[in-house]
Amino acid sequence: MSVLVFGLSHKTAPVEVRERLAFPDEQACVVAQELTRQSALNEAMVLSTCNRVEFLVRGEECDPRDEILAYLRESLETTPAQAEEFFYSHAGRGAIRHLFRVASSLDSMVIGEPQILGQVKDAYQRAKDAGTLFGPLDQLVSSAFRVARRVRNETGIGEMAISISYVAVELAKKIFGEMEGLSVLLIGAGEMAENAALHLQNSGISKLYVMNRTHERAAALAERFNGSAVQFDRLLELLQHVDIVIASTGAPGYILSKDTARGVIASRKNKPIFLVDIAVPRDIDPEINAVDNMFVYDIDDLEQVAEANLRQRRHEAEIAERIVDDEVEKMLQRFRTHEVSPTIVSLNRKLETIRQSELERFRGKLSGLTHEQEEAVEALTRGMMNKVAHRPIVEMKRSAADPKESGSIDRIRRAFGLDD
Amino acid sequence: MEAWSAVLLWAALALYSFGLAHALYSVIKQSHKIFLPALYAFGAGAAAHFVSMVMLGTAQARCPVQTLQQMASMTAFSITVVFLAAYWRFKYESLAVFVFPIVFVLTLVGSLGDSPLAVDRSLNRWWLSVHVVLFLFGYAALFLTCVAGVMYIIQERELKSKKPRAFYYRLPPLGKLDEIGYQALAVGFVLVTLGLIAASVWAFAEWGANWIVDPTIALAFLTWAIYLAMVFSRLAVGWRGRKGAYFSIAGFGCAALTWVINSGMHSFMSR
Repeated sequence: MSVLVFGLSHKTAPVEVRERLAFPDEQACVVAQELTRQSALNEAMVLSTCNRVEFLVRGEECDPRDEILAYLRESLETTPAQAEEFFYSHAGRGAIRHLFRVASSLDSMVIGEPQILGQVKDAYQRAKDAGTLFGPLDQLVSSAFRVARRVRNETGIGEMAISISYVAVELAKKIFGEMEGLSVLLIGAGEMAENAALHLQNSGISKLYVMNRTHERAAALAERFNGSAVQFDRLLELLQHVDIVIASTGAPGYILSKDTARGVIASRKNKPIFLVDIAVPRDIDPEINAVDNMFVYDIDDLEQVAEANLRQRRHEAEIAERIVDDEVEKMLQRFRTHEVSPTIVSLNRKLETIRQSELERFRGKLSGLTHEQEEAVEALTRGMMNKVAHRPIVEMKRSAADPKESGSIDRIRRAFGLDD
Repeated sequence: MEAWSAVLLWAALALYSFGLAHALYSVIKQSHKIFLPALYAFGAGAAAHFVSMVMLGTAQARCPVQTLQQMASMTAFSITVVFLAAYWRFKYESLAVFVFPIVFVLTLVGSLGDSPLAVDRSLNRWWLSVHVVLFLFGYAALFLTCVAGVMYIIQERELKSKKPRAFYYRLPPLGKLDEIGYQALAVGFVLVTLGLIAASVWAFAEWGANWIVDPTIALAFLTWAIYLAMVFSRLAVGWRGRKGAYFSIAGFGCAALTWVINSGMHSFMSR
């Protein structure tokens, strides 16, 4: 089977080139259909996202690369120089590996980001609907989903947050377990607070309070996120029962000192509280982190966690690469086994044809045979053919199981004239 | 029957060894790939273990908690049951890393042949068997509280340090650890209290009041008092988090000591 991936991505082409080539969904279908109709390609799928445009094709009786280059030249007016500069192509094993890596989000700009799998699934569905994906390539893409699932399940590649505002939500989950039922106090209603509120809202918190020097701003933000605006003088009272505080005021000094914090935690009966300080200069005395059940993170701390998460992702990505390699071998093996069985069938058919025609030729000379003798001739010729077929079949099965072996099926097909 | 019971116990041990393999693998290789097979093997091991103990109990016509080996085996089984219940409820596999090895070791001890049965051991009275079983399951639950406490202390340190390392990613959230620890404490405390009541009622009927001065009994009461203090401090003062975690480790230390001493036999029995 000759599979080819031909395309460009954030790794090879700048955004100016990618945006010019990116297809809207409907056009991707049309391109796939044109590819299979106008050229000698058997199957095609087009994946077009903002970070990559890729053609995944299968062509049995042609060089898929030439076909695609010709198509690009004619239909999309791409010059050979451009194709040389921005496009990559992977064939055979390389194509399978590339597809598995893309679906598992190992080739993404942000490694482990979850959207790409959905995008591949959409592309797959569209290609199936358009009728350009039906055979071995269909199997291959379905396998890619399975590989992506395995990577998700066996590594922690998508688990760690790497953007600062999301890191705060992740930390809150590590402290409280789940976000449902938690209440949040925003001190300061600037842009940072707004961003944080958006993430928190999506994570499922149940109550949001907003506090600001100018109360109108607080009221406006509270309204947007279904929270309630409160006056500054209620700070201590609220600190007694909220779970998360996000401080981002422009105050010159600390608005929460260590002594006050001790009082707060005592009145909370040691219920943990998570204090996120994204203000510069800081709003919350960092010393408070030493108090039991109080967790203080400032902007640098969040950054540090984000970096650690990124390192962790890279580590997980290495594990994922090994999974992909393993799956590529399995896939190749499966394809090879698939190639073997039709060959065995046609070998047996060929030998049977020879046997029948030889029997036919000698029919006249064998006319005086009794029924038993006729059966003996039948068994004799059949036995000979089986003996002849035995070694080649064993050899084909052996070579199918051996990844380093290639070409022995072709040799057998040629030796027995199976393609004539 | 006893021979079959021994065979089943060996089978349980073999199945538990998958759990041990998972624990080692996940610590050394930092991979949780074999957790699910290990969990199924562990569940199957628990079933074999249970049947084995029922057969042994039927054959000897006593609850199988008469010798040190039988005690170890029953303890392993109780920890298994508590773990499976906790896993079913909370789904945190990191608990397994602590639980699987200890269950394996205790079952191994339990399968190392039996010391001969003493004649006329009072424990064949079902009252006393009940108290032992209640204690064992209670201690198993308190063991879980202790495991949750250890994990809490590690995870809290990760969060306070602000430099997340492997533990941060692998351990459950603090809030959940607190919940696991507290629920296990509640279950364990109730069981231990019932066990203590069962034992006291029986001992009063049998010996009057002079058994109270026995040091091993006193230790059992001390353990119970520590857990009482834990429950109380949590409810009244809100002693939770790190302090609660240290408390649960100390309490379990005491419980483990009580177990070790009593797994032989109460000293007053030999009087």
